[in-house]
Amino acid sequence: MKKATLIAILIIATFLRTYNLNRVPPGFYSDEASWAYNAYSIFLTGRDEFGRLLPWSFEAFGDYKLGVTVYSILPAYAIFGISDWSARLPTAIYGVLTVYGIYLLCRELQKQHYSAVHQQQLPLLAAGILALTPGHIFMSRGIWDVQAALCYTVFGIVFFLKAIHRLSSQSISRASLSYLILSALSFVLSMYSYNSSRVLTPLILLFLFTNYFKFLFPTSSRKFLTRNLLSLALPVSLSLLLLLPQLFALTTPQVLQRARYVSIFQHGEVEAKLYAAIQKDPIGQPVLLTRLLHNKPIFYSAEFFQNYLSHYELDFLFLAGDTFEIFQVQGSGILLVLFLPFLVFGLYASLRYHYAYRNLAWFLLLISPIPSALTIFTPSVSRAQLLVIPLAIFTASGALFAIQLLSNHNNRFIVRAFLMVIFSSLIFNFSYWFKQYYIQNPPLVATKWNDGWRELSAILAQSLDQNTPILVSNAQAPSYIFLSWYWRIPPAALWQTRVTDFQPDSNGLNNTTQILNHIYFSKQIQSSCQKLQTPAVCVGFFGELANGQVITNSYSQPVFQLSKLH
Amino acid sequence: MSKLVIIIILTLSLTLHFYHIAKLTRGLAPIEVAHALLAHELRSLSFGNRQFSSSFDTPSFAYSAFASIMFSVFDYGIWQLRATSALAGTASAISLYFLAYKLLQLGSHRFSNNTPLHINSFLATIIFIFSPWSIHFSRFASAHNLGLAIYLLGTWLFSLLLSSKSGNPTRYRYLIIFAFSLSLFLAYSCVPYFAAASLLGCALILICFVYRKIIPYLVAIYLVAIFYLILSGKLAIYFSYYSLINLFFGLDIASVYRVSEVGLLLAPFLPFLLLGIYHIATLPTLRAYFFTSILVHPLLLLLFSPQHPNYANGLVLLPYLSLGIALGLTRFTKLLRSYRFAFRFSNFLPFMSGSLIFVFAGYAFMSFWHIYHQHYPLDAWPQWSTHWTKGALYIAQSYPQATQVVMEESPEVISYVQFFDLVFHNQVSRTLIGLESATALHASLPDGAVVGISGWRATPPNFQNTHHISLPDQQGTVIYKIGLWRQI
Repeated sequence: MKKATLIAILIIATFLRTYNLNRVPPGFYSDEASWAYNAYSIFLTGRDEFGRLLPWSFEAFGDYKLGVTVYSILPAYAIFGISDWSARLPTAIYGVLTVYGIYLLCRELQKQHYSAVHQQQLPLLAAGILALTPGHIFMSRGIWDVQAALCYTVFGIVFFLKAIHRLSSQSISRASLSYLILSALSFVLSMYSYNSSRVLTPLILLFLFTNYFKFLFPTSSRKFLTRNLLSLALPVSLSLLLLLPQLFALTTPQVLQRARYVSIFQHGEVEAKLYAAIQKDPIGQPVLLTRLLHNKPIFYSAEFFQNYLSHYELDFLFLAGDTFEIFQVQGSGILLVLFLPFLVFGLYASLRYHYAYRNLAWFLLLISPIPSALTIFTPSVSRAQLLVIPLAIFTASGALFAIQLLSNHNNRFIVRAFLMVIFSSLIFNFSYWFKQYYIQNPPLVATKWNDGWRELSAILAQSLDQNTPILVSNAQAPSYIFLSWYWRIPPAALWQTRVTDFQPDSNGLNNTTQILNHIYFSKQIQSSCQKLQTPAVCVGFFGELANGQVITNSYSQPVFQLSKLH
Repeated sequence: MSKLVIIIILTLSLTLHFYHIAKLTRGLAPIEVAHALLAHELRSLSFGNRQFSSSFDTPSFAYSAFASIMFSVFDYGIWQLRATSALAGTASAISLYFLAYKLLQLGSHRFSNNTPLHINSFLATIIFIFSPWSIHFSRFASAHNLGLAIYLLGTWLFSLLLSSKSGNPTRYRYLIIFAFSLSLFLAYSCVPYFAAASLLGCALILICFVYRKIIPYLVAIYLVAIFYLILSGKLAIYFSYYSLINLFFGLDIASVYRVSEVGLLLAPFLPFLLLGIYHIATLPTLRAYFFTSILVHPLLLLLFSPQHPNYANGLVLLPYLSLGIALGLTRFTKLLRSYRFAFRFSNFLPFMSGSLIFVFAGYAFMSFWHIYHQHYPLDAWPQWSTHWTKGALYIAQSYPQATQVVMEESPEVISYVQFFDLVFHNQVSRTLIGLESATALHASLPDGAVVGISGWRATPPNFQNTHHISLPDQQGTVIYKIGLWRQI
């Protein structure tokens, strides 16, 4: 019965993460195109778009994307061919695996050695809730590196717990050592998947080590202590060895370029607030007082805490979601509204009773927003994606707690009626979200998701000869990557012909200005067009050019203007 | 001990509320002027014969009644107008001290307990006194603070009644019942619906706790209300009451009812609120339910608050949040004590931690005080109608003979002129005349009987001797002007 339920949950999770995958979300975001093209380049040549052999970090737009996501796409290309759908599939699979991972995680947590309160149905319910969690579904449906990181983090914890439960009475057994190595590999992969993991994984490891210290070192006997330390040395040294490239790369300024742009410490917003506050102080106020009240440590701390707390805002969790439009679904946050009472029950019950999952879930809940709080544009679904794990566990636990409270009630009719109401409300709530996300939302966000590039690429490919100069607007996204992806430009041709300005722009990204000798990119399309020698073609975003053929996206919305200069 | 505590509470509270009350915040909010004029009406006219009607705000009868007493004793003036609020803030603090003590006693004496009641209730009161919102609402003529005071007083009276039920007879039971009923009426009069509903809600929780468990019913009401909010599309606004950023850091919103970038409570208390919630959750079942119900009941009632988002109604959260923080601080102290024994430290750890909390809280308060006095008047001068206040003050002082005032801007300004006429001349005699009417009638208007007031952008015709009033910011630059004109 349990197995059948788990399989049903996984089937539902798979359906929700793969249904109409190439159309929802619409288009292909610039980061997605970059991952897809780099995977294509690796698939054909073993080198990235700049011609580097099997890199662990991809320069891309100058944001140095971590490599696991790119390498995960390769099997999908091999099996299903090269397409938008197959490029998105691995992320969806990571999403489904995470659903299975949370099941395993809760099951392992229930096997704690010490006497804790157990909820037998927690693993299945937590998996079910994660399968239906909007914030997890829509982050599994694009190519987002965070999904791989989340999956590896969950499995890293699962393997660690499996290792703990397979410890013999006093020393580390062979089985537990194997799991420790698997755990170490999972954590290393998570750190090679997403930047936030570089902050979160060490914290999680520290927690696991301190929380399970007495299991790892159950005796103070010198002999066993030394033996266990030696056993632990293997996974630890293996991890450090695998992480060496990252450690060395951290010192290079290029890798930190993007981090600098998104960090609250470099963005300048806090300094502007600080300056405005100083301006409001009365003339003649002692300088010491001004410095005491308006200084960088205080303003940065306040900014950090506000960013951090913004991830626990109910509006973010249940109604509005991310600040980025592409991660928004109208009227929906990262959880279904109906989960709210159960989440509250779960949090409250976990404080009252010593549930087996308590320490880990609270720890994950508290640390998840830390990387995101250090950056601008908060609250962020993607940077704080780990949050969905504790939230799903608490919601599941709260639902079980509520059912337990109800089952104590004498009147069976009331209990059944209540459960019926909750269940039908859940179906209604999820159906509403499903309709919003899969039907209502795509046309609303199509242009934000760069829908229309496929159509433009097709038109340009059909109607132009090879040598006509084409000038394409670079105003909204690095346009070269869309043409490279949709035209499937051979990687070698790109290496040889691309002209890239590596000086970071205001967004901290580099700027590719030419590919294939006759395709040019400019941020000021109108003025650049006037300088072109005819015949040529100018392509601007809708409204950028004075006139020209309007090119629409898959929802018939005008996206580009194409002007042929004779 | 108790007398000393009361003296400390009174001293702190009165100092924070009355310090420069007439000058800070600069300007008068429209609701304050409305209260002043209704108070004058209550004082000087027979009941039911209303002379002034406010088109821009609804003054509270109860607040105006108290303000009219202040006017009778101390004459008309800004501090006299605001004094009711300041005294209400002080009364709230005193009531909270007794209420917190009684609630802790009610929640604990039926079970084994070793909570230091006096310390907890004193801490809650101190946190309440130093909370930015409590100070802000005690410094301007708003009925919300009076509503809060009456609400706390009523709840305390009710808890006294319950104490007498559970084996500690009170001789003044009937008097308490009468006073409680009166407080319900007054609370309703102050802030229609909400304060009275909160008072009744709290009373119900107390009754139910003494006689029966009520948690399932509270939860059921909560769920029904959430469904209602989902269906009515008001859930997002309701969630703002739960926002920790809102509660502890504030938002960048200039309003009469909130100080920009200042939260309801001082930010360093946030961890102690969470610790307090944890402390409540770990209490024995009935006590945990009791304190949880008490802590969350205003949130439950805010569901039915007709105006969303209403931060002034959210003021009712303040005493219970203060109590939660106080419980958190107590829990923290216990935690420190256990560490002290574990590490065989003397008093170093508790002393250091206590000092750190004091320093952080002191710094946060100093920062708030600075923002409140230096930045807030600059940020929120339009909401506080500083320009109207200055203009009306000028008219009242410089043109006592003019019987009509021409408005180019909002007609609300006439109320300001009337208020300052009361302050300087003890009478209200001027009337309003619209700009168009004044222009049409200008030949027939007697010389010297008309003054005009206008925004700085436009100068209406037929007026001369323009007097500009500037509102300088801290750097001395002009940010707004008002023109005053006499008819030719």
